[in-house]
Amino acid sequence: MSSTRCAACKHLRRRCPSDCIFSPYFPSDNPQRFAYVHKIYGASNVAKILQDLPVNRQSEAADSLYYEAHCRIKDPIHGSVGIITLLYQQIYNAQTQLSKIQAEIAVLSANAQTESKYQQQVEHMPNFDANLLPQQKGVYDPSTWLYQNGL
Amino acid sequence: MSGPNGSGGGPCGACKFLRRKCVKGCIFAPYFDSDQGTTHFAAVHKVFGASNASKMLLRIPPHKRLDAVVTLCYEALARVRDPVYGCVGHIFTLQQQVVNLQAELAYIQARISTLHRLPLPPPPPPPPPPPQPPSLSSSNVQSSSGFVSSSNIMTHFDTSQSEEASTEMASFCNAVDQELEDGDLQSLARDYVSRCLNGVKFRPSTSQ
Repeated sequence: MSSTRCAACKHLRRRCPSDCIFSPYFPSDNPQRFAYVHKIYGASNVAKILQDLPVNRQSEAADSLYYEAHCRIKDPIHGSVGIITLLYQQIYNAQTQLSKIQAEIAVLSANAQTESKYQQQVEHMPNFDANLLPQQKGVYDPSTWLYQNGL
Repeated sequence: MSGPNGSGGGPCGACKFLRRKCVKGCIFAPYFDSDQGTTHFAAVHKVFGASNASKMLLRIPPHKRLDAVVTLCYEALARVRDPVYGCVGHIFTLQQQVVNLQAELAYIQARISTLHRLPLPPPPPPPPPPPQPPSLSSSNVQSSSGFVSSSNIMTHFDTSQSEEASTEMASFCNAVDQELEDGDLQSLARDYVSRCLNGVKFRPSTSQ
């Protein structure tokens, strides 16, 4: 009997063989990890899933099984699908916000261009002084229609 | 996903798969019909087992069992399709999308704040001196340098965007998985995304 049984064999109260499929992924210092997985999937199903995979993918599979089992225990109705729904909602909200801000940028850019064009037009206008025509001197008096001091 | 209740309409999809008599009050009958239900139950049986599935459904109030069956089928089919990651792979993909969108939002918000800070057009010129030929005023030069400085800000932001995205990925994974408090899960997420999305690199999480 192995002197240090893995968490799975401890939970199942059995001998932990040297080639135990669980021992690399369910160490004895984390009993909760196997307890969750066993509660949702069952030990034999987990063993079958792991055995069907290449050795270099088994660790990732064990981690993902634990993640899903944890989500299912936390939310027995929706499990990890609840997180998927939440993420889709976040994506939708972010896309909506992005569209709104992009529209705002388009408006601001258009306004900035309009201001710039207006400014250019103002600066290129001839400097017109209604009170001083080139041939006239003095000040135009609207009441008499005459240029004073210039006639 | 409704189906026969096992009393006279033939066995439900679950009992058909299990090759057993479908009794009245079969826990699976309302949710697994004898057609597509059989396929779905096959996946549920392979991943969870009939006994575990039955226990899970019995622990849930009857009006919530349909939702539970739908999600169990989803997870089981995802696991059959991808034995390594199951539907967790989909979660990681969506998390990456959220992070990318948040980075894009941050960039766009920085850009819009830059546009808000652009200098206002100068006030109209005072009553003029004798006519002068038109020329570029100092205000016109200032507004073009304002546009130049805003484009510099955006360029600077572009170079730091990828770092911010990777930082946000690490922090988002931490936020979603904080209750699990398992550094292995974060490394699983990084492995998955690195495997599926070439070129994405991550800054190590500070929690590890």
